[in-house]
Amino acid sequence: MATPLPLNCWRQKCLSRPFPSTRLFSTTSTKLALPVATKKSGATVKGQKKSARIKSKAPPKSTAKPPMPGERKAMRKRIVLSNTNALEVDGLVDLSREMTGSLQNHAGKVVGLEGATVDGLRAVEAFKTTQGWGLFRRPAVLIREESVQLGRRLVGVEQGKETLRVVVDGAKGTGKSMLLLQAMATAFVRGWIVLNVPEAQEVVNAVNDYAAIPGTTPTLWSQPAYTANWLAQIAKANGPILNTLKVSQKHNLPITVPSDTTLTRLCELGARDSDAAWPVFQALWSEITAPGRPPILMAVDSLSYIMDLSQYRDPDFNLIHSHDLVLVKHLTDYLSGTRTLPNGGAILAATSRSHAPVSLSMNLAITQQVERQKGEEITERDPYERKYDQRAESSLKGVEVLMLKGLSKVEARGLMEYWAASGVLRQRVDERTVAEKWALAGNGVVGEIQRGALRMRI
Amino acid sequence: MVFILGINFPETRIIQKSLQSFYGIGHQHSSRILAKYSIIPTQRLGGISAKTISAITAELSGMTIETDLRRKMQENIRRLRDMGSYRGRRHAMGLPVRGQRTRSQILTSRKLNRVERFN
Amino acid sequence: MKVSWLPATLKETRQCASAPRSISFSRQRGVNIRPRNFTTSTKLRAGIAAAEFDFEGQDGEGGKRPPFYARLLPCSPSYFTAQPLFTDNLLAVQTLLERYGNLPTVKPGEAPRVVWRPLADYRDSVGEVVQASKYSKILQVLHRLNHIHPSLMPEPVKDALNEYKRDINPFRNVVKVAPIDKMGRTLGAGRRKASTARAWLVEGTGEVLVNGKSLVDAFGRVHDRESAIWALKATDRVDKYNVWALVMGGGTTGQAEALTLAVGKALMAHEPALKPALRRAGCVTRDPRRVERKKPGHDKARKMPAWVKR
Repeated sequence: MATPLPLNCWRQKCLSRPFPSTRLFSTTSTKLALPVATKKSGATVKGQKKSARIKSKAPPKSTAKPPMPGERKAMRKRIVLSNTNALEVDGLVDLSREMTGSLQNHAGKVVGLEGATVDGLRAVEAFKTTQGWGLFRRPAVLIREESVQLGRRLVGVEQGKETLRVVVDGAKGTGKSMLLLQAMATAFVRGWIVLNVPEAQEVVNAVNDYAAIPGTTPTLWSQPAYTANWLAQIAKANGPILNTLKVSQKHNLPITVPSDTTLTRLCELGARDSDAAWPVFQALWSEITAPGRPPILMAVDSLSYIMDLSQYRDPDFNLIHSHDLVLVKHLTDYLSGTRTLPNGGAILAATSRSHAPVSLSMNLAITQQVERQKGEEITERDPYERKYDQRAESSLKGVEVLMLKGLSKVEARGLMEYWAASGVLRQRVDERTVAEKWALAGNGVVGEIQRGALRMRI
Repeated sequence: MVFILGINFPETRIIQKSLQSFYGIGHQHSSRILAKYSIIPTQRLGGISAKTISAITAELSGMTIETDLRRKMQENIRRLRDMGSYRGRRHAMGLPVRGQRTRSQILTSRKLNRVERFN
Repeated sequence: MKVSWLPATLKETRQCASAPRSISFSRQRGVNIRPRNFTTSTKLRAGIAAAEFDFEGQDGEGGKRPPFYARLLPCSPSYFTAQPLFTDNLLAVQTLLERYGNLPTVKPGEAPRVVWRPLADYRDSVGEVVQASKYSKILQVLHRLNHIHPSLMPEPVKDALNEYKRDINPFRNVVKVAPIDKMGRTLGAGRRKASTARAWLVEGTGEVLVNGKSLVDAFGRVHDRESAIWALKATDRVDKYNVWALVMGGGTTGQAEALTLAVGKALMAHEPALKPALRRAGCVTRDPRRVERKKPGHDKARKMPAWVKR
């Protein structure tokens, strides 16, 4: 053990620090010594600085129960059709069978929908969450110029037993889906059978199971779960009519269907067994297209989804074309006119302008048809563009196009008067306010009028 | 519970995820297997028939995955090492093999690059 | 006496000296425009100091020697006031008023609008420290003189008034009204931030097209749509005109508010009487604010980098 350095060393002095008495050659003893108890009186220990940082607490754990599976989706898709706080509108006429023949008498006015129609529309999911049904006492629709046109055509094809093929197009918020709803309401009122695909996206975006149909070339694909669901929807919506109709033909079905079954029952049987859903749908279709049965209305929303490749894949990992899905094929066969409805009826398709994929062929077909209807020069397809879809083009050949524009001022006024009568619009409805809202909504785009008048609170 | 290749999965598990839990099956392989059996990517194990499950198991057992794949990879690295190649040396040293700079950020190679590699 | 060699100031003094009784009011230039010379050169000093006496009197050429006075007389009786030039000017206009004050006048308020030279300008030209209250005395007289009926306005008064008028008469600056073309359109232009807008307004039913698109397509925000046709909305003219507009540059807010101005100006061309209403609605004044430029040494326009000790 070495002696410590002398305390009076001049070098030590200049360091101006007390010389540690334990500074020995070996440090073992100091290390082994018991640690000196630190003072507890808040004095900061050297090397343990007080920082300004505040320790963040762990976020409080939520004690609320997480929603049950499917609950969120149910909330998202919930449709409220009535608001008890809204006023009852006096003199609101309901859409009736007699009225559908002469809708022009009600042009620019709002008409109500009666209970049975509303039930049917709800069952086919014609109402959408974005349409603001929850603001009013009961569902009602504005009869606009296009509604009158379409209504007249529907009545016409019912009498002439023709097939009406219409694509409804127009800018965002011009009421395309609403026009489909009106057509469906007309169909329900007139005793048609209504089949609706409320969102074409769900048919093609690979969220429902699919299976190849054996013995088809090129291979066709069925969607058992979706079809089963659809059958249930059809049965529920068209119950009053299908209940009166009975199975009249022989069908080769994987399930046993007793003779003398109502068509509602047939649908329910198909809905119960998803593997049998598609054959049951085919049976149902042959029943309802048999002679003497009522006309049929088929409606599709967001058409551009089924005008391109789907998200499904075949065993070779190629994307399946939407038209190879039997359900879509069923619709496009009637849309293209390769099949017709023997008892008359219509297939209506509406395009979507919100987040829908761009289908060049569909857009071109619509442009060409509009030009043809106006008698203008027809746009040629772009020779340098490769994204055209031959099948989409052929499926839209000769389809009538109903181009929606903004409302006229008279229609806008009728609508706003209805809002005011419901107590939703708290403003005097005069020429000035109508003109102002009409101009602000880009020349009467109805969705924008609603947004400006009902949603915005400035 | 669903058995795939001797491993138990809960029925609520998405099939693509459970397939990807096997070493050697990623997005590409799992998607192709699903396409082969016409299963949608969001399908859960509970909704698949036992027949399809056994077919998928058979499909997987024919593939070089899990232990086989690990062994194969280790053999490849060992071959490089035994040859005394540059790549082999880098593996042994736990350094980047493909010419990356080593001044900073070589944690991944330090973790993975070794002769007895497991993952 | 030969005076050609003398400095200008003194020359006058000499001339005054040679005509002692007729004190030079006839000079009466309204204002001595010559600015005061601040140098201390000999020339100036020569101007201030009296000239040497010529006792010999050799300059007389015609034999007749001009009368000689022992001391010099100042050219103006106000020479010994605090502000001699100002006093001269005031006296001059007052004399004019005395002389022509009884001419017929126009009614108050009907005289031609004139803007007089500001005090600072007058001070500069005179070179004296003139109080505002003093200058207002001149202006008061001028105001009265200005009310003399224009058809009878005498020449000297005109000259005096002109002397005190500003070079530019802002009252003559009248805004040109944009014409209505043969198609019934008017064009207005507006700017805001980095956007420029041109709007053509024609009588119609309230249709609006911006860059060929409807208002909804052009502006996603309802607020922007409102600003675009704010000029029409604020004056209740939404359903009276159609708008066809071109907008360039900037973002949506800038474009919408540039349109406010453009539509407002085009509307003013149709109905000039709406100007006060439009001004109240904020459709006339251009908002001059722009993005402030970034400066060197700053992170943004004003933000400085974080300051760290060492």
